Amino acid sequence: MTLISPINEMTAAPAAKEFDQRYYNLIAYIVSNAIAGEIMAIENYSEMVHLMGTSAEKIETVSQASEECKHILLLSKLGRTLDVAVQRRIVEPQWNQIRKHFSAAVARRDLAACLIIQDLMTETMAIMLYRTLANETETDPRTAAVARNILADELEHLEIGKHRIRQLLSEDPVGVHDALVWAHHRVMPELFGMISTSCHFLCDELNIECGSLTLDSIRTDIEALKLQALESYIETLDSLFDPAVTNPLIASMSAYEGYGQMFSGEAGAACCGPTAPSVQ
Amino acid sequence: MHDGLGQVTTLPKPHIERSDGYRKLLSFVVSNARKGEIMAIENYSEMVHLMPDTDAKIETVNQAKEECKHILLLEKLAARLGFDIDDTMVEPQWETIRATFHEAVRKKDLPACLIIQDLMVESLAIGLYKVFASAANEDHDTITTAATLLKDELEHLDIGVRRIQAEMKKDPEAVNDALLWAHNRVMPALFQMIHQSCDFLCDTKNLDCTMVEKPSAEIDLELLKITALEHYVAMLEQAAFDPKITNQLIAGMASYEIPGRVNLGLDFLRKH
Repeated sequence: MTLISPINEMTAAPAAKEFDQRYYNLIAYIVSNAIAGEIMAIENYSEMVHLMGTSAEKIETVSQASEECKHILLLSKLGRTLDVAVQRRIVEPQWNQIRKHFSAAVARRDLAACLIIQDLMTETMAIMLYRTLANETETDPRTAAVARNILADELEHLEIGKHRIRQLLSEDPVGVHDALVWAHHRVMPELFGMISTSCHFLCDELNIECGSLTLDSIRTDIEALKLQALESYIETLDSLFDPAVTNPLIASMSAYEGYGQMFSGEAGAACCGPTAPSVQ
Repeated sequence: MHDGLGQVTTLPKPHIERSDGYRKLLSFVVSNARKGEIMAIENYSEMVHLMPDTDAKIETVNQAKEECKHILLLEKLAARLGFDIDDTMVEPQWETIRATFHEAVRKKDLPACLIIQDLMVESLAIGLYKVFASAANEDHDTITTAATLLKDELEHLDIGVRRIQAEMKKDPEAVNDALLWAHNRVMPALFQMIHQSCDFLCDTKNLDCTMVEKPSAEIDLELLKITALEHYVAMLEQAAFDPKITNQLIAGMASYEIPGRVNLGLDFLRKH
Protein backbone atom coordinates (compact mmCIF):
# COMPACT_ATOMS: atom_id res chain seq x y z
CA MET A 1 0.00 0.00 0.00
CA THR A 2 1.28 3.47 -0.84
CA LEU A 3 1.89 5.64 2.17
CA ILE A 4 1.65 9.39 1.79
CA SER A 5 3.26 11.80 4.22
CA PRO A 6 1.39 15.07 4.31
CA ILE A 7 3.76 18.06 4.21
CA ASN A 8 3.24 20.48 7.02
CA GLU A 9 5.26 23.64 6.60
CA MET A 10 3.76 25.15 9.71
CA THR A 11 4.84 22.62 12.30
CA ALA A 12 7.28 20.36 10.43
CA ALA A 13 7.26 17.81 13.21
CA PRO A 14 10.22 15.44 12.97
CA ALA A 15 8.04 12.34 13.24
CA ALA A 16 5.21 13.31 10.93
CA LYS A 17 2.32 10.88 10.86
CA GLU A 18 1.85 8.95 7.68
CA PHE A 19 -1.53 8.42 6.10
CA ASP A 20 -2.43 5.88 3.48
CA GLN A 21 -4.62 6.44 0.41
CA ARG A 22 -7.66 5.13 2.28
CA TYR A 23 -7.29 8.01 4.73
CA TYR A 24 -7.42 10.51 1.89
CA ASN A 25 -10.39 8.75 0.32
CA LEU A 26 -12.19 9.06 3.61
CA ILE A 27 -11.23 12.72 3.93
CA ALA A 28 -12.54 13.34 0.39
CA TYR A 29 -15.81 11.74 1.41
CA ILE A 30 -16.12 13.62 4.70
CA VAL A 31 -15.11 16.99 3.21
CA SER A 32 -17.54 16.57 0.30
CA ASN A 33 -20.30 15.76 2.74
CA ALA A 34 -19.36 18.73 4.89
CA ILE A 35 -19.44 21.04 1.86
CA ALA A 36 -22.91 19.74 1.01
CA GLY A 37 -24.02 20.59 4.55
CA GLU A 38 -22.52 24.06 4.24
CA ILE A 39 -24.29 24.66 0.91
CA MET A 40 -27.54 23.66 2.55
CA ALA A 41 -26.73 25.97 5.45
CA ILE A 42 -26.21 29.02 3.22
CA GLU A 43 -29.50 28.28 1.51
CA ASN A 44 -31.29 27.80 4.84
CA TYR A 45 -29.90 30.89 6.55
CA SER A 46 -30.50 32.98 3.44
CA GLU A 47 -34.03 31.75 3.03
CA MET A 48 -35.00 32.67 6.57
CA VAL A 49 -33.60 36.21 6.52
CA HIS A 50 -36.96 37.69 5.60
CA LEU A 51 -38.64 35.95 8.55
CA MET A 52 -36.42 37.78 11.02
CA GLY A 53 -38.17 40.52 12.95
CA THR A 54 -35.61 43.33 13.00
CA SER A 55 -32.94 44.61 10.65
CA ALA A 56 -30.28 43.69 13.26
CA GLU A 57 -31.51 40.07 13.23
CA LYS A 58 -31.58 40.04 9.43
CA ILE A 59 -28.01 41.31 9.35
CA GLU A 60 -26.94 38.68 11.89
CA THR A 61 -28.52 35.94 9.75
CA VAL A 62 -26.85 37.19 6.55
CA SER A 63 -23.56 37.09 8.49
CA GLN A 64 -24.24 33.48 9.42
CA ALA A 65 -24.83 32.65 5.74
CA SER A 66 -21.65 34.50 4.85
CA GLU A 67 -19.67 32.48 7.39
CA GLU A 68 -20.99 29.27 5.87
CA CYS A 69 -19.75 30.53 2.48
CA LYS A 70 -16.31 31.00 4.02
CA HIS A 71 -16.45 27.39 5.23
CA ILE A 72 -17.12 26.14 1.70
CA LEU A 73 -14.09 28.04 0.46
CA LEU A 74 -11.94 26.72 3.32
CA LEU A 75 -13.02 23.12 2.73
CA SER A 76 -12.51 23.42 -1.04
CA LYS A 77 -9.03 24.81 -0.41
CA LEU A 78 -8.32 21.93 1.96
CA GLY A 79 -9.27 19.50 -0.79
CA ARG A 80 -6.84 21.20 -3.18
CA THR A 81 -4.08 21.30 -0.57
CA LEU A 82 -4.42 17.61 0.23
CA ASP A 83 -4.88 16.87 -3.45
CA VAL A 84 -8.14 15.01 -2.89
CA ALA A 85 -11.17 15.35 -5.14
CA VAL A 86 -14.10 16.99 -3.36
CA GLN A 87 -17.58 17.76 -4.62
CA ARG A 88 -18.88 21.33 -4.42
CA ARG A 89 -22.53 20.51 -4.72
CA ILE A 90 -25.16 18.55 -2.85
CA VAL A 91 -25.01 14.89 -3.84
CA GLU A 92 -26.74 13.01 -1.04
CA PRO A 93 -30.53 12.93 -1.37
CA GLN A 94 -30.97 13.40 2.39
CA TRP A 95 -29.57 16.94 2.27
CA ASN A 96 -32.14 17.79 -0.39
CA GLN A 97 -34.89 16.28 1.74
CA ILE A 98 -33.85 18.41 4.71
CA ARG A 99 -33.78 21.46 2.43
CA LYS A 100 -37.28 20.62 1.25
CA HIS A 101 -38.57 20.45 4.84
CA PHE A 102 -36.81 23.70 5.68
CA SER A 103 -38.42 25.43 2.68
CA ALA A 104 -41.81 24.12 3.77
CA ALA A 105 -41.23 25.74 7.18
CA VAL A 106 -40.28 29.01 5.49
CA ALA A 107 -43.41 28.88 3.36
CA ARG A 108 -45.47 28.54 6.55
CA ARG A 109 -43.45 31.41 8.07
CA ASP A 110 -42.59 29.02 10.89
CA LEU A 111 -39.42 30.68 12.18
CA ALA A 112 -39.19 28.35 15.18
CA ALA A 113 -39.07 25.29 12.92
CA CYS A 114 -36.41 26.97 10.74
CA LEU A 115 -34.23 27.70 13.76
CA ILE A 116 -34.69 24.20 15.16
CA ILE A 117 -33.77 22.57 11.84
CA GLN A 118 -30.77 24.73 11.02
CA ASP A 119 -29.41 26.02 14.31
CA LEU A 120 -30.08 23.02 16.53
CA MET A 121 -30.24 19.88 14.42
CA THR A 122 -27.87 20.62 11.56
CA GLU A 123 -25.42 22.65 13.62
CA THR A 124 -25.22 19.92 16.26
CA MET A 125 -24.26 17.46 13.57
CA ALA A 126 -21.75 19.90 12.09
CA ILE A 127 -20.19 20.56 15.48
CA MET A 128 -19.63 16.87 16.09
CA LEU A 129 -18.16 16.40 12.64
CA TYR A 130 -15.72 19.31 12.94
CA ARG A 131 -14.83 18.37 16.50
CA THR A 132 -13.81 14.92 15.25
CA LEU A 133 -11.82 16.36 12.35
CA ALA A 134 -10.20 18.96 14.61
CA ASN A 135 -8.66 16.24 16.75
CA GLU A 136 -5.05 16.19 15.56
CA THR A 137 -4.40 12.76 16.98
CA GLU A 138 -6.91 11.42 14.43
CA THR A 139 -6.36 13.61 11.40
CA ASP A 140 -3.58 15.42 9.57
CA PRO A 141 -2.62 18.92 10.82
CA ARG A 142 -4.13 20.80 7.87
CA THR A 143 -7.50 19.12 8.19
CA ALA A 144 -7.41 19.68 11.93
CA ALA A 145 -6.59 23.40 11.52
CA VAL A 146 -9.42 23.99 9.05
CA ALA A 147 -11.86 22.04 11.21
CA ARG A 148 -10.92 24.05 14.32
CA ASN A 149 -11.52 27.28 12.44
CA ILE A 150 -14.95 26.19 11.24
CA LEU A 151 -15.87 24.62 14.58
CA ALA A 152 -15.57 28.00 16.33
CA ASP A 153 -18.16 29.51 13.95
CA GLU A 154 -20.55 26.58 14.26
CA LEU A 155 -20.44 26.70 18.05
CA GLU A 156 -21.34 30.37 17.82
CA HIS A 157 -24.23 29.59 15.47
CA LEU A 158 -25.57 27.01 17.91
CA GLU A 159 -25.52 29.59 20.70
CA ILE A 160 -27.25 32.17 18.49
CA GLY A 161 -29.89 29.55 17.68
CA LYS A 162 -30.44 28.66 21.34
CA HIS A 163 -30.76 32.34 22.22
CA ARG A 164 -33.30 32.90 19.45
CA ILE A 165 -35.32 29.83 20.41
CA ARG A 166 -35.42 30.87 24.07
CA GLN A 167 -36.81 34.20 22.91
CA LEU A 168 -39.49 32.52 20.79
CA LEU A 169 -40.31 30.13 23.65
CA SER A 170 -40.99 33.08 25.92
CA GLU A 171 -43.44 34.45 23.34
CA ASP A 172 -45.21 31.27 22.19
CA PRO A 173 -44.16 28.06 23.98
CA VAL A 174 -46.91 25.94 22.44
CA GLY A 175 -46.11 27.04 18.89
CA VAL A 176 -42.39 26.38 19.37
CA HIS A 177 -42.98 22.91 20.83
CA ASP A 178 -45.27 22.09 17.91
CA ALA A 179 -42.49 23.22 15.57
CA LEU A 180 -40.03 20.98 17.41
CA VAL A 181 -42.26 17.93 17.09
CA TRP A 182 -42.72 18.51 13.36
CA ALA A 183 -39.07 19.26 12.64
CA HIS A 184 -37.82 16.35 14.73
CA HIS A 185 -39.90 13.75 12.90
CA ARG A 186 -39.12 15.21 9.50
CA VAL A 187 -35.45 16.02 9.76
CA MET A 188 -33.77 13.80 12.34
CA PRO A 189 -34.36 10.53 10.42
CA GLU A 190 -32.77 12.17 7.34
CA LEU A 191 -29.76 13.46 9.25
CA PHE A 192 -29.40 10.16 11.03
CA GLY A 193 -29.75 8.09 7.87
CA MET A 194 -27.24 10.16 5.97
CA ILE A 195 -24.29 9.21 8.12
CA SER A 196 -24.64 5.53 7.43
CA THR A 197 -25.69 5.39 3.80
CA SER A 198 -25.03 8.61 1.94
CA CYS A 199 -21.51 7.75 0.95
CA HIS A 200 -22.80 5.34 -1.68
CA PHE A 201 -23.86 8.34 -3.72
CA LEU A 202 -20.69 10.22 -2.98
CA CYS A 203 -18.47 7.23 -3.70
CA ASP A 204 -19.88 7.19 -7.22
CA GLU A 205 -19.25 10.89 -7.65
CA LEU A 206 -15.75 10.76 -6.22
CA ASN A 207 -14.80 7.62 -8.15
CA ILE A 208 -13.84 5.95 -4.91
CA GLU A 209 -14.34 2.28 -4.35
CA CYS A 210 -16.68 2.22 -1.39
CA GLY A 211 -14.99 -0.86 0.00
CA SER A 212 -11.77 1.09 0.37
CA LEU A 213 -13.30 3.38 2.98
CA THR A 214 -12.94 1.03 5.89
CA LEU A 215 -13.17 3.35 8.79
CA ASP A 216 -10.50 1.67 10.82
CA SER A 217 -8.01 3.13 8.40
CA ILE A 218 -8.09 6.06 10.76
CA ARG A 219 -9.49 6.03 14.23
CA THR A 220 -12.22 8.42 13.22
CA ASP A 221 -15.32 6.38 13.70
CA ILE A 222 -18.42 7.74 12.06
CA GLU A 223 -20.64 5.51 14.16
CA ALA A 224 -19.14 7.12 17.25
CA LEU A 225 -19.68 10.51 15.65
CA LYS A 226 -23.34 9.65 15.13
CA LEU A 227 -23.70 8.62 18.74
CA GLN A 228 -22.01 11.80 19.97
CA ALA A 229 -24.20 13.93 17.70
CA LEU A 230 -27.33 12.30 19.04
CA GLU A 231 -26.18 12.72 22.63
CA SER A 232 -25.41 16.34 21.96
CA TYR A 233 -28.80 16.82 20.27
CA ILE A 234 -30.56 15.28 23.27
CA GLU A 235 -28.57 17.57 25.57
CA THR A 236 -29.69 20.58 23.53
CA LEU A 237 -33.31 19.42 23.66
CA ASP A 238 -33.09 19.00 27.42
CA SER A 239 -31.62 22.46 27.86
CA LEU A 240 -34.38 24.23 25.94
CA PHE A 241 -37.64 22.36 25.78
CA ASP A 242 -40.34 20.80 27.94
CA PRO A 243 -39.39 17.21 28.90
CA ALA A 244 -43.01 16.15 28.45
CA VAL A 245 -42.51 16.90 24.74
CA THR A 246 -38.87 15.89 24.34
CA ASN A 247 -39.02 12.51 26.12
CA PRO A 248 -41.30 10.91 23.52
CA LEU A 249 -39.16 12.42 20.77
CA ILE A 250 -36.02 10.90 22.20
CA ALA A 251 -37.76 7.57 22.64
CA SER A 252 -38.98 7.71 19.04
CA MET A 253 -35.39 7.74 17.82
CA SER A 254 -35.09 4.08 18.72
CA ALA A 255 -37.04 3.44 15.52
CA TYR A 256 -34.08 4.73 13.49
CA GLU A 257 -32.02 2.11 11.74
CA GLY A 258 -28.88 1.23 13.71
CA TYR A 259 -29.92 3.10 16.84
CA GLY A 260 -30.07 0.04 19.09
CA GLN A 261 -26.68 -1.22 17.96
CA MET A 262 -25.06 2.10 18.81
CA PHE A 263 -26.46 2.43 22.25
CA SER A 264 -25.79 -1.21 23.07
CA GLY A 265 -22.14 -0.64 22.19
CA GLU A 266 -22.15 -3.05 19.23
CA ALA A 267 -20.27 -1.88 16.20
CA GLY A 268 -22.57 -0.57 13.50
CA ALA A 269 -22.07 -1.26 9.84
CA ALA A 270 -19.29 0.96 8.64
CA CYS A 271 -20.31 3.60 6.16
CA CYS A 272 -19.12 2.49 2.76
CA GLY A 273 -17.24 -0.28 4.48
CA PRO A 274 -17.17 -3.85 3.34
CA THR A 275 -20.12 -4.68 5.59
CA ALA A 276 -22.29 -1.85 4.36
CA PRO A 277 -25.40 -2.92 2.46
CA SER A 278 -25.17 -2.53 -1.27
CA VAL A 279 -27.18 0.11 -3.08
CA GLN A 280 -29.63 -1.18 -5.63
CA MET B 1 -3.28 66.82 -1.20
CA HIS B 2 0.51 67.33 -0.88
CA ASP B 3 1.82 70.37 0.98
CA GLY B 4 5.11 70.57 -0.97
CA LEU B 5 7.12 68.91 1.79
CA GLY B 6 6.00 65.46 0.85
CA GLN B 7 3.39 65.42 3.56
CA VAL B 8 -0.20 64.63 2.72
CA THR B 9 -2.58 67.14 4.21
CA THR B 10 -6.32 67.07 4.26
CA LEU B 11 -8.20 70.24 3.54
CA PRO B 12 -10.75 71.04 6.22
CA LYS B 13 -14.26 70.33 5.05
CA PRO B 14 -16.27 73.52 4.69
CA HIS B 15 -18.75 73.81 7.53
CA ILE B 16 -22.29 73.42 6.37
CA GLU B 17 -25.36 74.61 8.19
CA ARG B 18 -28.16 72.12 7.81
CA SER B 19 -31.60 73.62 8.08
CA ASP B 20 -34.39 71.75 9.86
CA GLY B 21 -36.15 71.28 6.53
CA TYR B 22 -33.02 69.83 4.95
CA ARG B 23 -32.54 67.45 7.89
CA LYS B 24 -36.14 66.35 7.48
CA LEU B 25 -35.54 65.79 3.78
CA LEU B 26 -32.42 63.78 4.60
CA SER B 27 -34.38 61.82 7.16
CA PHE B 28 -36.97 60.99 4.50
CA VAL B 29 -34.40 60.01 1.87
CA VAL B 30 -32.22 57.99 4.25
CA SER B 31 -35.19 56.24 5.89
CA ASN B 32 -36.37 55.14 2.46
CA ALA B 33 -32.89 54.23 1.27
CA ARG B 34 -32.46 52.08 4.40
CA LYS B 35 -35.80 50.41 3.73
CA GLY B 36 -34.61 49.70 0.19
CA GLU B 37 -31.41 48.16 1.55
CA ILE B 38 -33.37 46.00 3.99
CA MET B 39 -35.51 44.85 1.09
CA ALA B 40 -32.34 44.17 -0.91
CA ILE B 41 -30.89 41.87 1.77
CA GLU B 42 -34.20 40.02 1.88
CA ASN B 43 -34.32 39.77 -1.90
CA TYR B 44 -30.74 38.67 -2.41
CA SER B 45 -30.99 36.21 0.46
CA GLU B 46 -34.23 34.76 -0.79
CA MET B 47 -32.85 34.07 -4.25
CA VAL B 48 -29.68 32.30 -3.05
CA HIS B 49 -31.29 28.88 -3.37
CA LEU B 50 -32.37 29.61 -6.95
CA MET B 51 -28.78 30.18 -8.04
CA PRO B 52 -27.48 27.44 -10.33
CA ASP B 53 -24.15 26.64 -8.66
CA THR B 54 -22.22 27.08 -5.43
CA ASP B 55 -20.11 30.00 -6.68
CA ALA B 56 -23.21 31.93 -7.72
CA LYS B 57 -24.80 31.23 -4.32
CA ILE B 58 -21.71 32.55 -2.55
CA GLU B 59 -21.65 35.64 -4.78
CA THR B 60 -25.29 36.33 -3.92
CA VAL B 61 -24.70 35.94 -0.18
CA ASN B 62 -21.86 38.46 -0.57
CA GLN B 63 -24.24 40.89 -2.26
CA ALA B 64 -26.62 40.54 0.68
CA LYS B 65 -23.71 41.11 3.04
CA GLU B 66 -22.80 44.33 1.22
CA GLU B 67 -26.36 45.57 1.53
CA CYS B 68 -26.09 44.90 5.30
CA LYS B 69 -23.04 47.16 5.36
CA HIS B 70 -25.08 49.84 3.59
CA ILE B 71 -27.75 49.75 6.31
CA LEU B 72 -25.10 50.33 8.96
CA LEU B 73 -23.51 53.16 6.92
CA LEU B 74 -26.86 54.91 6.51
CA GLU B 75 -27.62 54.55 10.22
CA LYS B 76 -24.18 55.95 11.03
CA LEU B 77 -24.76 58.91 8.69
CA ALA B 78 -28.05 59.70 10.40
CA ALA B 79 -26.45 59.55 13.84
CA ARG B 80 -23.52 61.74 12.74
CA LEU B 81 -25.64 64.42 11.09
CA GLY B 82 -28.27 64.37 13.81
CA PHE B 83 -31.45 63.25 12.09
CA ASP B 84 -33.75 60.31 12.78
CA ILE B 85 -34.30 57.16 10.79
CA ASP B 86 -38.05 57.35 10.81
CA ASP B 87 -40.17 54.38 9.79
CA THR B 88 -43.22 56.63 9.45
CA MET B 89 -41.45 58.26 6.51
CA VAL B 90 -41.07 54.97 4.65
CA GLU B 91 -43.25 54.82 1.57
CA PRO B 92 -45.75 51.96 1.32
CA GLN B 93 -44.74 50.91 -2.20
CA TRP B 94 -41.68 49.08 -0.84
CA GLU B 95 -44.01 46.36 0.45
CA THR B 96 -45.59 45.93 -2.99
CA ILE B 97 -42.18 45.52 -4.60
CA ARG B 98 -41.03 43.05 -1.95
CA ALA B 99 -44.25 41.04 -2.34
CA THR B 100 -43.73 40.88 -6.10
CA PHE B 101 -40.19 39.65 -5.63
CA HIS B 102 -41.38 37.02 -3.17
CA GLU B 103 -43.92 35.86 -5.74
CA ALA B 104 -41.14 35.48 -8.31
CA VAL B 105 -39.17 33.35 -5.82
CA ARG B 106 -42.21 31.19 -5.20
CA LYS B 107 -42.52 30.65 -8.93
CA LYS B 108 -38.76 29.86 -9.02
CA ASP B 109 -38.48 32.54 -11.68
CA LEU B 110 -34.81 33.48 -11.36
CA PRO B 111 -34.83 35.90 -14.35
CA ALA B 112 -37.71 37.84 -12.77
CA CYS B 113 -35.83 38.01 -9.46
CA LEU B 114 -32.71 39.32 -11.20
CA ILE B 115 -34.71 41.85 -13.20
CA ILE B 116 -36.53 43.17 -10.13
CA GLN B 117 -33.58 43.38 -7.78
CA ASP B 118 -30.55 43.86 -9.99
CA LEU B 119 -32.06 46.07 -12.69
CA MET B 120 -35.06 47.87 -11.28
CA VAL B 121 -34.26 48.37 -7.61
CA GLU B 122 -30.55 48.85 -8.22
CA SER B 123 -31.34 51.50 -10.87
CA LEU B 124 -33.28 53.43 -8.27
CA ALA B 125 -30.49 53.05 -5.72
CA ILE B 126 -27.93 54.21 -8.26
CA GLY B 127 -30.07 57.21 -9.17
CA LEU B 128 -30.38 58.15 -5.52
CA TYR B 129 -26.74 57.71 -4.57
CA LYS B 130 -25.58 59.44 -7.76
CA VAL B 131 -27.61 62.54 -6.90
CA PHE B 132 -26.10 62.69 -3.41
CA ALA B 133 -22.57 61.77 -4.53
CA SER B 134 -22.61 64.58 -7.10
CA ALA B 135 -19.67 66.99 -6.98
CA ALA B 136 -22.16 69.85 -6.82
CA ASN B 137 -23.31 68.68 -3.41
CA GLU B 138 -21.68 70.78 -0.70
CA ASP B 139 -22.67 68.40 2.06
CA HIS B 140 -19.46 66.37 2.13
CA ASP B 141 -20.66 63.92 4.77
CA THR B 142 -23.47 62.76 2.52
CA ILE B 143 -21.15 62.68 -0.52
CA THR B 144 -18.75 60.29 1.20
CA THR B 145 -21.45 57.85 2.24
CA ALA B 146 -23.31 58.05 -1.07
CA ALA B 147 -20.10 57.49 -3.08
CA THR B 148 -19.27 54.36 -1.07
CA LEU B 149 -22.75 52.94 -1.57
CA LEU B 150 -22.82 53.93 -5.25
CA LYS B 151 -19.67 51.93 -5.97
CA ASP B 152 -21.21 48.72 -4.57
CA GLU B 153 -24.54 49.25 -6.31
CA LEU B 154 -22.88 49.81 -9.68
CA GLU B 155 -21.08 46.52 -9.16
CA HIS B 156 -24.35 44.78 -8.31
CA LEU B 157 -25.91 46.19 -11.45
CA ASP B 158 -23.04 44.76 -13.51
CA ILE B 159 -23.43 41.38 -11.84
CA GLY B 160 -27.15 41.51 -12.59
CA VAL B 161 -26.65 42.36 -16.25
CA ARG B 162 -24.11 39.53 -16.58
CA ARG B 163 -26.49 37.05 -14.95
CA ILE B 164 -29.43 38.13 -17.10
CA GLN B 165 -27.33 37.80 -20.22
CA ALA B 166 -26.44 34.26 -19.11
CA GLU B 167 -30.12 33.44 -18.52
CA MET B 168 -30.93 34.97 -21.91
CA LYS B 169 -28.58 32.51 -23.60
CA LYS B 170 -30.41 29.61 -21.96
CA ASP B 171 -33.99 30.69 -22.59
CA PRO B 172 -34.59 34.12 -24.20
CA GLU B 173 -38.36 33.69 -24.36
CA ALA B 174 -38.65 33.02 -20.64
CA VAL B 175 -36.41 35.97 -19.77
CA ASN B 176 -38.38 38.38 -21.96
CA ASP B 177 -41.61 37.09 -20.42
CA ALA B 178 -40.12 37.64 -16.97
CA LEU B 179 -39.31 41.21 -17.96
CA LEU B 180 -42.87 41.84 -19.11
CA TRP B 181 -44.29 40.51 -15.85
CA ALA B 182 -41.79 42.25 -13.57
CA HIS B 183 -41.93 45.58 -15.41
CA ASN B 184 -45.69 45.83 -15.17
CA ARG B 185 -45.69 44.83 -11.51
CA VAL B 186 -42.74 46.80 -10.21
CA MET B 187 -42.03 49.86 -12.34
CA PRO B 188 -45.36 51.60 -11.66
CA ALA B 189 -44.79 51.12 -7.91
CA LEU B 190 -41.20 52.37 -8.09
CA PHE B 191 -42.24 55.30 -10.21
CA GLN B 192 -45.17 56.15 -7.98
CA MET B 193 -42.90 56.05 -4.96
CA ILE B 194 -40.53 58.67 -6.34
CA HIS B 195 -43.24 60.67 -8.02
CA GLN B 196 -45.35 61.01 -4.90
CA SER B 197 -42.48 61.58 -2.52
CA CYS B 198 -43.05 65.32 -2.25
CA ASP B 199 -46.75 64.87 -1.61
CA PHE B 200 -45.97 62.13 0.89
CA LEU B 201 -43.61 64.43 2.77
CA CYS B 202 -46.12 67.21 2.69
CA ASP B 203 -48.94 64.98 3.96
CA THR B 204 -47.05 63.11 6.63
CA LYS B 205 -44.45 65.62 7.80
CA ASN B 206 -45.92 68.94 6.71
CA LEU B 207 -42.78 69.65 4.70
CA ASP B 208 -42.83 71.43 1.36
CA CYS B 209 -39.85 69.82 -0.32
CA THR B 210 -39.68 72.52 -3.00
CA MET B 211 -39.00 75.13 -0.33
CA VAL B 212 -36.23 73.27 1.49
CA GLU B 213 -32.87 75.02 1.54
CA LYS B 214 -30.42 72.40 0.24
CA PRO B 215 -26.64 72.33 -0.21
CA SER B 216 -27.07 71.63 -3.92
CA ALA B 217 -29.75 72.35 -6.46
CA GLU B 218 -29.10 68.83 -7.74
CA ILE B 219 -30.56 67.31 -4.60
CA ASP B 220 -33.90 67.11 -6.20
CA LEU B 221 -36.40 64.27 -6.03
CA GLU B 222 -37.44 64.91 -9.64
CA LEU B 223 -33.86 64.61 -10.79
CA LEU B 224 -33.54 61.39 -8.85
CA LYS B 225 -36.49 59.96 -10.73
CA ILE B 226 -35.03 60.86 -14.11
CA THR B 227 -31.58 59.54 -13.25
CA ALA B 228 -33.06 56.25 -12.03
CA LEU B 229 -35.25 55.80 -15.09
CA GLU B 230 -32.42 56.68 -17.45
CA HIS B 231 -30.34 53.98 -15.80
CA TYR B 232 -33.12 51.48 -16.08
CA VAL B 233 -33.60 52.19 -19.78
CA ALA B 234 -29.86 51.94 -20.40
CA MET B 235 -29.76 48.61 -18.57
CA LEU B 236 -32.63 47.21 -20.61
CA GLU B 237 -30.51 47.82 -23.67
CA GLN B 238 -27.31 46.49 -22.12
CA ALA B 239 -28.94 43.29 -20.92
CA ALA B 240 -29.92 42.58 -24.53
CA PHE B 241 -33.65 42.15 -24.09
CA ASP B 242 -35.73 41.95 -27.23
CA PRO B 243 -36.10 45.56 -28.50
CA LYS B 244 -39.60 44.76 -29.75
CA ILE B 245 -40.56 44.29 -26.11
CA THR B 246 -38.42 46.95 -24.47
CA ASN B 247 -39.55 49.67 -26.89
CA GLN B 248 -43.16 49.03 -25.91
CA LEU B 249 -42.33 49.01 -22.22
CA ILE B 250 -40.37 52.25 -22.45
CA ALA B 251 -43.12 53.93 -24.45
CA GLY B 252 -45.64 52.70 -21.89
CA MET B 253 -43.78 54.40 -19.07
CA ALA B 254 -44.85 57.77 -20.43
CA SER B 255 -48.36 56.90 -19.28
CA TYR B 256 -47.16 56.90 -15.68
CA GLU B 257 -47.45 60.68 -15.85
CA ILE B 258 -50.72 61.71 -14.37
CA PRO B 259 -52.82 63.92 -16.69
CA GLY B 260 -53.30 67.44 -15.47
CA ARG B 261 -50.15 67.57 -13.44
CA VAL B 262 -47.00 69.46 -14.26
CA ASN B 263 -44.59 67.80 -16.61
CA LEU B 264 -42.71 65.18 -14.67
CA GLY B 265 -39.57 65.13 -16.76
CA LEU B 266 -40.15 62.00 -18.75
CA ASP B 267 -39.47 63.70 -22.07
CA PHE B 268 -36.29 61.68 -22.46
CA LEU B 269 -38.43 58.57 -22.77
CA ARG B 270 -40.26 60.05 -25.73
CA LYS B 271 -36.94 60.96 -27.34
CA HIS B 272 -35.82 57.39 -26.76
